[in-house]
Amino acid sequence: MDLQQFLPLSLDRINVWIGVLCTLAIYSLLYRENPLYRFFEHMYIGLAAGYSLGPLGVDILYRYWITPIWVQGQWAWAFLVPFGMYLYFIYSERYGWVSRLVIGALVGTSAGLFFQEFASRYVVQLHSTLSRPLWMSSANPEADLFGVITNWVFIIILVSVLVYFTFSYPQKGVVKNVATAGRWFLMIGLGAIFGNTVMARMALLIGRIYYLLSDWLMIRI
Amino acid sequence: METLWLSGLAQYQHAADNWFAAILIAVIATTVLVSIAITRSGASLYIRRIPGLDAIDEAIGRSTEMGRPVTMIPGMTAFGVVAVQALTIFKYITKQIARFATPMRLLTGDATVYAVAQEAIQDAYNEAGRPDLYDPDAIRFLSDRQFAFASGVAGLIQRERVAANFMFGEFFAESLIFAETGNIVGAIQVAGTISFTQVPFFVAACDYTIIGDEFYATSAYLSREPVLLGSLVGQDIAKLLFVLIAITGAVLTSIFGADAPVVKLLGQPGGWDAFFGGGQ
Repeated sequence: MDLQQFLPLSLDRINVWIGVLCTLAIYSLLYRENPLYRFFEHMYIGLAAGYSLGPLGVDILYRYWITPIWVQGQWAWAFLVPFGMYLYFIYSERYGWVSRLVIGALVGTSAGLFFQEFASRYVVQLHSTLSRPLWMSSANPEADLFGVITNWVFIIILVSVLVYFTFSYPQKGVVKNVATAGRWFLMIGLGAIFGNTVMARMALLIGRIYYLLSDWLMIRI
Repeated sequence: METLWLSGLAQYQHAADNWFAAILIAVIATTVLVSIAITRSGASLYIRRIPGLDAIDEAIGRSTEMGRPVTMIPGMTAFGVVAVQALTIFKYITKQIARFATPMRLLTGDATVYAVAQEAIQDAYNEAGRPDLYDPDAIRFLSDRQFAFASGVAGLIQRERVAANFMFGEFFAESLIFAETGNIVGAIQVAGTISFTQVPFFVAACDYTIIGDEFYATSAYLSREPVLLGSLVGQDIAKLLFVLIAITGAVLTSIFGADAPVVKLLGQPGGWDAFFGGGQ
């Protein structure tokens, strides 16, 4: 290894060394909390707070507030930011109720949008579910045995998991057995998601290790 | 609309875009409203107790014995229905810990949730008869950047050696960082999320996990508020309705085929056009 190339004597190498220092400092938490981690944690949060101002100004205020008002002449948007700032009345004992107008608007909007999401997402899924034939017949000439078995598995899992997620009646007897089966199916599904995501996380770890070995220690891999 | 439907990206704006969806929503909404009215009239509704609920009391007891703080994390949950449900659970926990003066920290990554959480937690201390215990500094907004927030939470959990860690709300890739850090310091952890892809991590790293709709059931069970209880009962009826429609539809598809008008009535855009006319 060429020591001159390894040491942080150029702008590129300084960048790499800072990246390595940040990486190792954050990873040091795996051993225990320490002053180095604490310093970088606070620096990270501070940088993130500063960075957030950029997207807030450019992507939100400029794009969704200033542009519609000044460029497109939609002056009614001018009332939006002052209305949003009513939230700060939460710190006033006397006028705290004003902030609830904003909170109410947010909850109401969130609930209203959910109706649209329900129709767009769940009704589509429901129709897709019920459009699957459970046996082969002349009405479904494209259905094959494998497809029919898959549809049965799908319907059984759907029903049992939905039964598991009901809460307003005691789960006894057959219902309890169906709900237990639903829980098992759920766990198998969650296991598959877990394995899949762990693989993705491993890819991230490998990326970091590659950075340390290749970019910093200059080991050819 | 046809193209959107085929690509699975249907965006329904008006009832005429999919009459079946509109009718189904109206039926479910009516069911929920009737259930709420029944609950408000004083009827006692049964709600199945979820095992994770016992764990909440257990974890509070343990942190009290150890004299170490409790952390409550709604994650990066934006203010909305999920955040309100999470705060309902956190209010219950706060009322419990107020009896024993156990310290708490609520850490959020959303500014609006932060503001509302301050009020909710203060209310909880007032309702518990211990307004003197409310410390505004215990509710902290760390960062709205995902991993800056995660590093802040991980650092705090380690520094304060929390005894119990409650995570309720919507979580993303940072979920395992929280849960593993809590695991390292030996905290009892109870998590509940509607984020299906994060549930496996909570199942792996937490002592108890409240999955999917159990999250809503938890807040209803703990608060005993008629609106939440009635909603839960209404949702159960809606789920059973879904099961019924799915099975009936599958049988009809098997008999008549997927393109039969009777199957199209069950949710396909345009299926009801013969009765009500089509959308845009």
